[in-house]
Amino acid sequence: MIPSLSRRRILRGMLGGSAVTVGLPLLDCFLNGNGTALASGAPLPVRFGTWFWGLGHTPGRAIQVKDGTDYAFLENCAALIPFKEQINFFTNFNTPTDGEPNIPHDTGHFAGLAGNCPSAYGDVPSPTFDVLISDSIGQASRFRSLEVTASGNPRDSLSARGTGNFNAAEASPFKFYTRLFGPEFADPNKADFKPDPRVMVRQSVLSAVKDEASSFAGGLGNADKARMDEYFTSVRQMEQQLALQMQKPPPAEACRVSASPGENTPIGTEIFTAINTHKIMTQLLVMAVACNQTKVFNMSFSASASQYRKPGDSATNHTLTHEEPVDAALGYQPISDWFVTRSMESMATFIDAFAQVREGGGTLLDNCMIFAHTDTNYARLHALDGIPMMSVGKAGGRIRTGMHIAGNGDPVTRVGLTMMQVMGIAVDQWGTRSLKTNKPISEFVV
Amino acid sequence: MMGNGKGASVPLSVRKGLLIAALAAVALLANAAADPPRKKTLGLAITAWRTALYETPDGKEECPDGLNLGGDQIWLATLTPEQKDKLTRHGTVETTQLRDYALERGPHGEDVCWNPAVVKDPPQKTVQGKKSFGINLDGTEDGRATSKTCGHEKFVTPDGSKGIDNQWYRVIGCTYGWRAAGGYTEEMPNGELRDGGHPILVEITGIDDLRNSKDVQVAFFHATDGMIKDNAGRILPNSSYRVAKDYLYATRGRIVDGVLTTNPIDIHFPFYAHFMHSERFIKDARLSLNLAADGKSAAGLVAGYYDLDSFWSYMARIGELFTVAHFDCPALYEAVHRLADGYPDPKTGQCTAMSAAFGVEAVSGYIIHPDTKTAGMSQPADQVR
Amino acid sequence: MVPSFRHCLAVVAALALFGCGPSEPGSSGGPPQVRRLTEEQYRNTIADLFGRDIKVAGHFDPLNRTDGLLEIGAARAAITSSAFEQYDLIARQIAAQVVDEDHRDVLVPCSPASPTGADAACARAFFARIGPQIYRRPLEAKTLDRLVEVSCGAASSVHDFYAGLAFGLAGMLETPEFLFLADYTEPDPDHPGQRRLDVWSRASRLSFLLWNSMPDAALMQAAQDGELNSRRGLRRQVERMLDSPRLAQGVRAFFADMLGFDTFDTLAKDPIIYPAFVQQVTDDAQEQTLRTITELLIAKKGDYRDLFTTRETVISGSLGLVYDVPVAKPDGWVPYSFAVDDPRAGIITQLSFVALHSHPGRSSATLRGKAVREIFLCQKVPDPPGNVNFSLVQDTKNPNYKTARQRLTAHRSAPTCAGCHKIMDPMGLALENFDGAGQYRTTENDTPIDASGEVDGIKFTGTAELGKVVHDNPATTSCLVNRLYGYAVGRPPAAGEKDWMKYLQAGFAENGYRIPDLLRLIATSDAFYAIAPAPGPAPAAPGRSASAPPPTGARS
Repeated sequence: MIPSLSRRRILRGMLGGSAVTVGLPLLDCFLNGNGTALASGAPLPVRFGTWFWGLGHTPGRAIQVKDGTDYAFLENCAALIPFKEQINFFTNFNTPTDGEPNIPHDTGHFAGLAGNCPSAYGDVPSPTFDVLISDSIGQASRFRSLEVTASGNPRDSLSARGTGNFNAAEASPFKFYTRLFGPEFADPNKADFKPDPRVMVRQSVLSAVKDEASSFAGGLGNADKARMDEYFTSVRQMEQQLALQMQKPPPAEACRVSASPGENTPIGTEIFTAINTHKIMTQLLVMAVACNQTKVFNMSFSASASQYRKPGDSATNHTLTHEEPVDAALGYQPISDWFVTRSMESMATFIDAFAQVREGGGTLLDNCMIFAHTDTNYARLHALDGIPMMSVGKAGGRIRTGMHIAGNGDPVTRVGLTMMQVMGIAVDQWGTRSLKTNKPISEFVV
Repeated sequence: MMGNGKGASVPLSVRKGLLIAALAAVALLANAAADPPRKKTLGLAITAWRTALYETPDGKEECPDGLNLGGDQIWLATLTPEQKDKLTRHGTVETTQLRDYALERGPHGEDVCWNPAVVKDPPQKTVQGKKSFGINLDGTEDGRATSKTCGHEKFVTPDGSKGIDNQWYRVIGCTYGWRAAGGYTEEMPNGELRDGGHPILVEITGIDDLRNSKDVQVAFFHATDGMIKDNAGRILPNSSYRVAKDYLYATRGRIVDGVLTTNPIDIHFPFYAHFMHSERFIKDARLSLNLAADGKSAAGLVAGYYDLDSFWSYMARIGELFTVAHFDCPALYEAVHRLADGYPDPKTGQCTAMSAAFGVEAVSGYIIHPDTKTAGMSQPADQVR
Repeated sequence: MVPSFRHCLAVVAALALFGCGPSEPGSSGGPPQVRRLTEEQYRNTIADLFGRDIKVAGHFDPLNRTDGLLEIGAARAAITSSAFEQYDLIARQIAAQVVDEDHRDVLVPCSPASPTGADAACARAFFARIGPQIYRRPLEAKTLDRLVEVSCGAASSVHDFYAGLAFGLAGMLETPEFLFLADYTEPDPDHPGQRRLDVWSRASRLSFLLWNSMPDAALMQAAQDGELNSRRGLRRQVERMLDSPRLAQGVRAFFADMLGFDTFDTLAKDPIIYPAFVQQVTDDAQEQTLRTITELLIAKKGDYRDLFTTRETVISGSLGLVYDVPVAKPDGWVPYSFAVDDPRAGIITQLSFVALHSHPGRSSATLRGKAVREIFLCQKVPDPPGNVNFSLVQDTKNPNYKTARQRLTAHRSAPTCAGCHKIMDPMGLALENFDGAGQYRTTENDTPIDASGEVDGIKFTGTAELGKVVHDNPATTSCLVNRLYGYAVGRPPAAGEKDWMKYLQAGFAENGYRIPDLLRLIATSDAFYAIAPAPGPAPAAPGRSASAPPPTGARS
């Protein structure tokens, strides 16, 4: 029995095949996973997302800290200036490793995402907190969450359930569009709606699949059982999608679907190609969110050891951060710095896309909380302490924004804990060992 | 002769002979000690052909009377205002759409490109300037008639070489479709060539040194494999090309300061243009190619006497391009026959070929001959690197 | 039981084949595995089930390389929501094709009473035939009933018999029974207290190892008849499969995994620096090496170690451009031998190695050295430390840093770096004559390249000698055995298999390091099918199937 479906009043069409007209009250897809909020008249849903870029900032060129919570963006982040009022910038939060190795371009971000220091590349022993959030608020959407990358590599995703398996990232704009807005998409603003009897058949097929899978799972060892749990979660998500297809989706004022990107849209690690891919993918993602296809999203602008390169240059961004000499006059590595600024420009593109969508009395950005983060404080040295983090968006009014918040050496997990609480998850403690914390950052919570 | 009769002294002639023999022996030894340097081979695939056309930005130097009109414009000029209005439906139909009318305007409805002599159009505007690319083909300085040529004017190259024969340039140099701005007529076939077309191959063997080689053999082949492009559309060097069995022309040449020149030979050059297979028949064809020092490319000229029949059979079939290339078949036909300067017909004295020069670009490649074993092919140590 | 004459003959034959070497040592086996089918296994299976012309269009989640192999990662792989979405989409597309007018006459064994409604009898005939093939074991009665029920319900609902079949079929292709290669076990009558793979799992394990696809009809029949539990019967099947041209598919799949060819999917070379490295080259580079491998190891039954020294390979038109050699048939594949003194000798000098283990715009001695260690010698190189000080490497005022060798010298003198770089760089530096795209060069930045190196104390110059060093290194062959066995069972060798692994290595050597012989040794052993108890219950074979009594498991 699937808990979420039980709260639906679905008219099961007769298998004799007569057309079924559906006249339902507003769906409770605007309820969170616990069903504690009202359907109609409720505040618009708060969405959660992450935006990741590899290789950090150039020290001293990102922000200038001022009195109190005031700060100013510097050269690296010039593109973010128009959005400062939506952004909180966290500094001085550290990543204690308790003796685990500092795995370059790995420990830095997984500590803050999973509350755990990995012991090897590919090891993510607990779920990243976006998964915890999507498990809570994402059940009732067509997609529990959407993972996207601009690099062309589906492996560039940081979202994981803790079994060692990552949620693969969408890498092709054309395929992403087809998945979102292809034949399975139900336009919320279309006037007419007729449920397809084939969908009901697929529901009964999935039910049989689950029965089959249950007897298979029954005979497995513990490690394999956990993997089967993930399988069942995935089947349930498909059932959820089918259930949504049986009902007219509530109108979404901000939903406007444009044409598909071409099948041969170039993707690759040449920096300008990646910037362009990011722009296209961002548009698709924003459309998906505005059309209520998901409430949780993860965008990976670049991999943690970013392989992006300028055309004609033999060195990638990552190689440069280690091999490029610090310019004596400038005091930093010029080309590596150039890449940092490009990353922040793309972050601005991402933020702007959400800010352009009108929703309710404000914008989609007002109803989002986006965790922008990276893997290091200084790529040249794989520095772990004081890794820059930001929150972007007003989370529907649940948080204060525009502040600099200093961590005083506290563990990075305070940020994730706070964000989970803001998103309505009943958690008071998170992380393991020295990353364990029960102190949310109350300064920015309303 | 030295000697007093006492003791045998070697007669001078013998002494000389011995000396010569000794010197010869030394020379022989010296030659044997030094191995002759290995002769090298360079394979080239020709990636582009263009009429070598000298032009100035505003065209005034070479075409003081302006450029040629297309056949459609010429035909339109013959219409009365009422005829024009009716045909263009009060000006709503583009004149280029009326191409078929312009083409089939012979007195009995003949296509005037297949039958260019049936109408008389205003004459072709020919080049009036003095400069042209090309080669001195007839060996004269002044272009006077010889047993193999008709009298004609000569050109000077832009960098001052005199005695250049290029009547094809004279005829076509003021025609939009062959000039840089409107070069569709020749760029389209180059594009088709680059899109996997089959290039003409030039194989140079017997090379001592890429900069200077006194005597090399030059053979022309036709590839049966297409060219491969990189992501930017450039043809890549080091491709392998199999050759058509029945196509071969061979001549000799020499390389001087990196420039290969060859002895004249009649060659039919097949090419694919505007969706048709065609050929250029060039008599006394010669190469003048600058070979790049790294052995990966070359550029220069193919010059010779372009046979008029070969030329016209191509022109007639692309006649319908006159609207976009701005040429007029009857005028063009008349001009090439009037200005042709090579191979006079023994009966009529009318020259049957025109001096011409085509600019070519080439990229290096491996030329695979049909008798090469397919298995166990080794790295050829004799290829120019 | 009194041995029959034929049994004696078989034993004599076995001895003759394996010589008078030691007999197979006991082995604990390892825990049962549940491996997600790889994309290629999925595609091969669909082709075997329904024919090559059925299109499989969709994307498959990547697997994580674990202990050197994707196949071991498959044993940890789960199915995420987005992956399930894709499987569902692909399954529905496959099913739609199977029942369409072009295919139904061949793939559906009967005709319905009416095409616009349900027909339980025909549906039953369809699923009874296809079900055991899809699940790779007999269908349970209740499963068959459920399939018929779902399919008939669907047919009635949409007024289309064939669509009803397609719904049911699509569902089958989404079950874990299909998507995972699971080790089902039963008690081992020859070793009381232990378990062993049941016959259906034997068939699957054998088939995916040797042919990278589902068991064929003959193998399923052999399983059904109990042949796979008898030494002779098992050998007969193994010989049949080793003799088949399909062996190449299995060997290719193993080496593509071991050599890390999955990273070709995201390989990019800078088109300005390496214009000759067009997309076709990435496909052809893999194909070249795989063909070199199958030609040497299967067709010629050659010594595995010769892969590192052979100058015989195949070449295509697009590869000819990068290797800068003439290609007799530029539109196909032709055999090609590099000259006796050519630096290209062995698969380490082929593009699939040197271009894969490089950066987009430059070579990398470190990446290549690391790859030689990890791929061919099974030696794990520790991860780089977090707090490296790179100021040493960045002293570009020194005019001595023109070549990679010169730059990396600093890498290897700083104490924090030297430990690991000493075991990587010297190997990679010998390959510096090949640039980032694998093209040959003699200079870098106008300075001649010095291709000398050292591996574990053995000095050499040039790539041919590097190949010889790898050829002679004992770790090379033991690594191969380790990887092949891990690939076969979906896990690294277990502690209780130490003697068994030693036995395999000895057998490999005795047989002249021939891969088909090693495969035979593995596939006909007891150890390969032994299962050690896992924590928690092991998947038991499903109950008695409707069609045949279970095999008794007695050796004949």
